[in-house]
Amino acid sequence: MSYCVHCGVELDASAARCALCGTPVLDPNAAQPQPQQPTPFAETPFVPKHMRRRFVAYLITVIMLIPNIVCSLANAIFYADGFWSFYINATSLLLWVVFVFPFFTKKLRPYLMWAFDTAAVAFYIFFFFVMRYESKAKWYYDSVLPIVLFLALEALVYMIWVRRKKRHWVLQAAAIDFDIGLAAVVIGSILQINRGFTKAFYIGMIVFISTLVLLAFLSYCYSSKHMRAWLSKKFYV
Amino acid sequence: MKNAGQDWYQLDNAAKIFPGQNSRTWSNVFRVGVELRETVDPALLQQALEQVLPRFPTFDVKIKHGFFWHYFEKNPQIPEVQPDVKNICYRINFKENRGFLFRVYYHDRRIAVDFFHALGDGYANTVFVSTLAAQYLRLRGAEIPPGGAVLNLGDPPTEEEQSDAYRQYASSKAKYDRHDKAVYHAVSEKEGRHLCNYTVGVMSAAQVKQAARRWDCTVTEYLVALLLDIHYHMQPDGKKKPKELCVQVPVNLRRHFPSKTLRNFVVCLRIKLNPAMGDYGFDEIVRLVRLQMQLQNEKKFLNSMMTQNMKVERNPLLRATPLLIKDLGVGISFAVTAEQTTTALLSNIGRVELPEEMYPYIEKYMFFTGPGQRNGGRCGVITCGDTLCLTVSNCYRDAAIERALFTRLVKAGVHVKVESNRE
Repeated sequence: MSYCVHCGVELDASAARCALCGTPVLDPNAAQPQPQQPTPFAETPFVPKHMRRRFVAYLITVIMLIPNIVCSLANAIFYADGFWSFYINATSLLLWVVFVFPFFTKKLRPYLMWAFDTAAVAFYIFFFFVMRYESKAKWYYDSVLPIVLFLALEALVYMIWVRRKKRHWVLQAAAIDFDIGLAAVVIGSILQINRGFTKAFYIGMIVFISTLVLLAFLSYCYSSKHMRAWLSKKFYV
Repeated sequence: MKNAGQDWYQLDNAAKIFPGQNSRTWSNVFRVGVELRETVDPALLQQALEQVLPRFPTFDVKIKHGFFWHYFEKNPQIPEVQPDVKNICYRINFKENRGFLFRVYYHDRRIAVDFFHALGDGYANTVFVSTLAAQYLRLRGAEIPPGGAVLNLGDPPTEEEQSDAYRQYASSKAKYDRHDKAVYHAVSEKEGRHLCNYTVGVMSAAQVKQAARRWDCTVTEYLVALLLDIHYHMQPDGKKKPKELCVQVPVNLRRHFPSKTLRNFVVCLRIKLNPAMGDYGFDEIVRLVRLQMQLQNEKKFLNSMMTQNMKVERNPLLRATPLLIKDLGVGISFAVTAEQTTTALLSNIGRVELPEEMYPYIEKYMFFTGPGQRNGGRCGVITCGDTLCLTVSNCYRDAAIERALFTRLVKAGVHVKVESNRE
């Protein structure tokens, strides 16, 4: 007969620790391990079968494949208008990578998803514009690709930062705000240098300065407990 | 209610909502278990089950979809006893388990049955388990006469046992107004799908009664007050307006109305505490619980609650709505009301009366309320002889509620032995 030293309850003979507080059962006088006692409850759970995620993913993939195959075949037969089926193929591929592919992995893999999603977006724009209009290749390589890669980099940094430890919601909001401002400046610079939009950089700077104002407000909220209490009181839902 | 000349039953008033609440991961299931003094023989238990089942025609059924309502139909198959599982009261699938809505388990010295709530309430299922255990003991050579919760297998099932007692007794002209709003929940990290933690506290009924008597209240009132007090102190003391607390207490209507039905005949009282009113000491909470229980646990009041539930069922518009839409409505209403409006639950089946000859073979009875979706403290209480078992079903990993409850009882001078399926 053993008791929990913290809770004062008697424990089952088979218990290795207190069920209420987790304190281990120790008998300093026991010279050798006690024989195994029958446990009060069965030890194996029954996990009911349910429709597997992967099965659902396969099903959606097949459903998505049908219009793609039909359109590709039709395009091959009626080629007069060029590769018009690429629009459907590219859109389906993007949707599949973003929404269906995650169901094929057993657990959520954010970095893998990030890499695939970035590639899918870059290819989507490539398919949509460059494949049909070869004149747009330069536009794609000097402006679109750098912007997509920069936004993906920002998302990656944010993801690593949030996953490392749980951040306060004010800090998260501040980080997103800063990311938006920075993105505006970088996009503005790229468009001004590579595309010749004269005022793009300045528009980006205006956005950046606006986000800085919001950033100052958020940092004040983060540092002042009183302000947060006032906000939660005023905007209590 | 059995329909003349046919082998099918309408679901009783309370049972009508349970199939609509059923999901792939959650069902309204509870368990009554009996622990004997010797290891259970599965072959004899199977034999006993097959002999007992014809006496309970309302259990020997499968559920079917009608156009307007679900209904029970005689199940031509034979149920099978199975070794117990760790995740007690996991969801019921109407197509599994040969279509039966109950599962009979054995583990070491225990016989346990998980019931889908549509079959019957705690009392009805205790009668089933007791009769099954008595028949099992008879097959082991014991001489046990019928009596108390053990039915005579020689008697044919009566019409009254199979009747829907709500229809028979709901006769109030008074209107019962429900004012249920969202209440406080002690939420923490949830266990995985289909899993739930159960902690059983085995105590002396006399000691618990004595502890309750110190506060001049009954055992149920005392335990409800403890649950309220625990949740009252768990609610963070912030600047926000504290949320109301509400413990749901099912009441066996057979104590007020002379019915012998073996189906559902229960309504739920709602015992509330509003911390926004000010600070409460335990003595005030006990007083508040006692007053509310006395006010609500009264024949005429219970009748008005019962009649209000019947009104929904009798509504001609609702009756003419196809089952698919009804189930959808029940599912939505369950998501926005039900556990959103209760902090905890305490269901006390009370004392199980058995024939004198059976007591020497029985160690204890156990009653497990099913897992909650938001409620961490769903308590089931059952007493047999001087052994009272208080079981806490907790869908969260954290054992704060159980710990608080049992340590409070220990401090009140009650010797508590704890058994759990936690690792």
